[in-house]
Amino acid sequence: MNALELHQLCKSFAGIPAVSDVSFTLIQGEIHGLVGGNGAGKSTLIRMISGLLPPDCGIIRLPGSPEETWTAHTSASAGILTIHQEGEFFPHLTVAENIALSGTFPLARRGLIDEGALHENAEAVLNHLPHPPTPDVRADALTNATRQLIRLAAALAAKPSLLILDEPTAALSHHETNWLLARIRELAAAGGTVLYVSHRLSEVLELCDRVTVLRDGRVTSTQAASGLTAAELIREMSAVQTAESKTQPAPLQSQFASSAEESSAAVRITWPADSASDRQHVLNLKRGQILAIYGLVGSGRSSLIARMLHLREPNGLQVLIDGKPLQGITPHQRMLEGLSVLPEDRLTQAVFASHDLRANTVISAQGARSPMAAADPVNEYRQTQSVIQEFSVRCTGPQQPMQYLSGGNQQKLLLGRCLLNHPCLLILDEPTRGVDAAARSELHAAIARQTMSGTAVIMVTSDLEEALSCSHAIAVLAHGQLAGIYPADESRRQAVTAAAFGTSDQSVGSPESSTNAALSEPVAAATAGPAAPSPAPEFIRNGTRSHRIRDIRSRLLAFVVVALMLLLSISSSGFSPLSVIDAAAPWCILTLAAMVVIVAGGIDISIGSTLAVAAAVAAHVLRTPLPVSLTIPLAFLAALTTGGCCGLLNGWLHTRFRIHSIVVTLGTLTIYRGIVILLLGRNAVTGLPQQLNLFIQHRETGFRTGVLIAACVCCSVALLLRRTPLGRFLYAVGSSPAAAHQCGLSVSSVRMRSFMLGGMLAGLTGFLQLASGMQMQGTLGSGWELTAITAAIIGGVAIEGGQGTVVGAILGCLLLRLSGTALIHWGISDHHLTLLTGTMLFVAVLTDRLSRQGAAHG
Amino acid sequence: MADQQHLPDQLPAAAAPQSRTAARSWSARVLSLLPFLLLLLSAGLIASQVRRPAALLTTWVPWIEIATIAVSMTPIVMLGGIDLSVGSAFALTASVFAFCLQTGTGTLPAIAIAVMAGTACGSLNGTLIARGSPPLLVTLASMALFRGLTMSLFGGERILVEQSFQLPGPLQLRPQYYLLLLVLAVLQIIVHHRVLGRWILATGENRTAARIAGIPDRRVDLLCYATCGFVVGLVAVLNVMQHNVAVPDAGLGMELQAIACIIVGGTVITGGRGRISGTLLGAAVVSSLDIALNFLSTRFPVISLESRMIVTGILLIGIAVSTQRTAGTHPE
Repeated sequence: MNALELHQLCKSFAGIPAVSDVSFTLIQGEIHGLVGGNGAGKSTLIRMISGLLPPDCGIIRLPGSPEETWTAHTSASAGILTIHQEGEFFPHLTVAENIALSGTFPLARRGLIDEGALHENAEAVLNHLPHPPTPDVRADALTNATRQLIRLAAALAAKPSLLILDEPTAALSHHETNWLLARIRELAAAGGTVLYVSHRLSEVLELCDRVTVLRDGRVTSTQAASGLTAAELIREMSAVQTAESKTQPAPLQSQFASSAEESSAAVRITWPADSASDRQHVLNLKRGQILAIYGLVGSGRSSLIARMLHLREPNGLQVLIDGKPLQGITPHQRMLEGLSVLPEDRLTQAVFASHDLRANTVISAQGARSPMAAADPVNEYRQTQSVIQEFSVRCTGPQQPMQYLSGGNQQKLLLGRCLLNHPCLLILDEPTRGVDAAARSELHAAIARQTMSGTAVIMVTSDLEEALSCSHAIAVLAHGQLAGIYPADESRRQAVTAAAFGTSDQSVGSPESSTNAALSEPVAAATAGPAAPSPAPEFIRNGTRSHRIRDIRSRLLAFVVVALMLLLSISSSGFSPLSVIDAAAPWCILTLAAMVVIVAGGIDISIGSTLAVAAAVAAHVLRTPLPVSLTIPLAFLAALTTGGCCGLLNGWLHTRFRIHSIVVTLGTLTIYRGIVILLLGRNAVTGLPQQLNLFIQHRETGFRTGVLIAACVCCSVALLLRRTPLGRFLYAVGSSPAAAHQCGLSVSSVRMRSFMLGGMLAGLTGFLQLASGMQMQGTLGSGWELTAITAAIIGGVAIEGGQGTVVGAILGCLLLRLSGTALIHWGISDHHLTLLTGTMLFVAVLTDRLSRQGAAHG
Repeated sequence: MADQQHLPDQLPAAAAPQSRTAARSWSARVLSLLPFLLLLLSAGLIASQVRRPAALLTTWVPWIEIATIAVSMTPIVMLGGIDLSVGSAFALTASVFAFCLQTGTGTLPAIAIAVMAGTACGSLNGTLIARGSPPLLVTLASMALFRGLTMSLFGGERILVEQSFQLPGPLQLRPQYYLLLLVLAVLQIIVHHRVLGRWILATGENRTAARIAGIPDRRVDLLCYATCGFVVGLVAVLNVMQHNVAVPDAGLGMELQAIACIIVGGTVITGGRGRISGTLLGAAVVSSLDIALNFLSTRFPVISLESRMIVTGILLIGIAVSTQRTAGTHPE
């Protein structure tokens, strides 16, 4: 039985076809491999199947179901789940919430999230992992590999009818890969279908029932995997007969031999002594040599470069270039010292997506120049042309924006960027990650060429083939420590693997320093076996310092508010805490209005004007000659609706036209203010019905209705943010829009709702202000937006979104009001209030910095 | 800024069918002409209404000050930052300058002190932002801090200056005009014809990548914010010299007007793209529209304050639609 049918799918971007005329079917219960070079259209095809991209023509459908437009929604409701190649996570949410967001939130009564079930679901998923983290840890404390494992485990646990995996093992170690493959087989045995996309052909052949090969956007064949060989697949993928990609060792080895004599050590790496052996390990790398650093996930491979470059605490690791230490200087100075780095994560760490190829290529070379030197466009153009030719980058020319290039071509250009500086040490972090076979061998050849001109290369890789075929020596990491250094030689495959797994005993693992004298000096075999208890397994990247700082901050805030209130009550007889709370009540609501938008990753500086528009509309309703019992509820509703509409307009402009929210609300700020003056004329509106006062304080009983309303609103907003899926969505979108998009959340609609909610809260504030002031002026609320945002920030709301609590925002608002009152009561001129506010904001800036540092170092 | 969105890997950005792309580029082209059309229209209006062209030059002086500050803030926006504190820094430096003059400091030392104060304001922002705090947060804080310092130090009073300055003015232009031209020329050369400008745009596009590629992004940050503070100091000095008074609530809302000029001028608020000269165009459009509508409102009462505000807001959003949206970088 078929699980999914694809008929003649086409998709082109800016006239260039990415996928054309693709048809194949997926049979239920099979594991279907999809292979092809970079730019063959695999990712595009996957995005079409998961409904993220609409096809230009052709049909995707479930068998037996009518033809309909295939959207992300139909795809999800058909039980199709996609794990993308470069998966995103919500850094500010917990692991449990991250897992729930990729599926659904367990709901208890009345649409609230069932916290217990949320926790249990997460544990159920995590228990399958080799080193399960606790569900309550925040995702920004995890390493990439652990996140990927969690993502895969969650997807497998969801038992989808069709699971699409795009390069799932790119970040995983051998061990983790085996775990994953076993789990995929279990899923298929239980009747699930899997579409498995990978460059690792051996995995594909081992795992899949059938394999479809894509080339240049077209299907070349779909056939049973049994009986196929990797060479056949490569032939189909690349159309031309390619020899085995392992062509490098011979020329490199000879190069290694010659260069070893003529130049002395250029780079000297000193590993600190570890618990297993007391000796420190010194590694000398000469010009023209390539050192591969190989290790499994969690072996410290990914953090080694960060330690070398001093981006993270080096823990004793020391790198000397020509006798000068590398550490403690900025990336800029390092570059001037002759060091180039090709980072692991191309998208976020290397590419200037919307800039053209020229700017992308020459940027490092420019970094080496004086800032006031004249930029030379002709020379830049020429350099870019030469890089494009040398690496045969497929593009339309130096003027093409970088984002239009495929990953492999981007990678080639980036390597070209590194080489333009003629570095004496080149650090490559996973240089061929996600790159197809043809581009990979071109990259390897380019690296080998570079060594001829006397560059020392350190290449971090998770691919043993690459390490063996393309380097002079392999340093193997295990459990965060150096497990041994081996000559790169096919016969050492066993030893390297064993060392990487930490299972090496002395006889296998001892790397002979005699055969490798040029490279490693007194290298002792660091048998980092199970005997060496790794101090911190790498799946938890940083401690909880940033959490502690946030915790301390919110407690301190609460303490200051209470202390200030007590102090005022004692020191000044005329002070009543209730009056402060009275005055603060509408401000609390406005602060929440600012907060809900900021949490979702936007900012609304038009809430002051929104408030005024809502109040003006309400004032108009109140002045209609209808009975008061009718106009007051109507006015209340009108204020809410107007506020909501204003917010909705902001949200619509922001999401529809993709304009930054600060720009949109800067525009609507003046528009709404104009509307207020249009509605009111120049004069204040007075003569509002006296009964309106009921919304603030009951005349006979003295009952404070305003405070009650504010309290109710605060509670419901808190409940909404904390315990409903929508609230979690707001945090999710604010935390990482890209991750939200991948989870199938509509970023636009969530942002829009946040703006609408903010607008409604602002409208409510406007109505309460109307009721307390009993008049309406055109300037009502102007400049209040900044005060509200200030209060929210003092209360611990992070301006970039994703973090902040209702309680914090209310405390921030109370502190701001209290300090104003305190100045008056203590007879200090209110000129100093602004200074006080500024100081409080600076304290917020500083604690924000502290918590950031906590997250960075921990 | 939370809007740092990721591109889908290996996918061309314009993920739209060709016909739609064509339509969009057509509409974008028309929208990109909008500033020029508006400028022509409002210039025509002003020309038809104005009786004494020389008076017009004086009318424009406050806008020239805003334009100068906007031009000096443009590199900050190109870096992906923002400076909300320029209005407060303006008030602070103006007060410092006036206070120095009042207490009998010589003119030149007073100018030096005031400009240094402005540079210090910018450097404070720059230092904190270079160390990784969000620009919006830092400058919101310093906006309150500088305003608070102005109020607290000088008691919230106007500071009068007795000296009268005969500022040199060939062609009967006020010195503010020359300052604008100077700042514009210097920044135009630095940003578009010097390596530093390439650094600024690269850092604005992708800060992590720029840092790894070896660009001293922190120094660039500090330099841009300090320069902006320096120019704000100069503008404040000239302002006090003209009016002989420093007002503690001077420059209220100036930051938003300056940002509006930058946006209308086509610099993308998330950084990475823009032109210095665009900001001048933006300032010209915003100011001439405001002045033209002001002239009209004296003639026709229908065109009143509120319609001016609404028109300005719609203009801002309309132009932002054509210049600010970053094709394909929004996940939707």
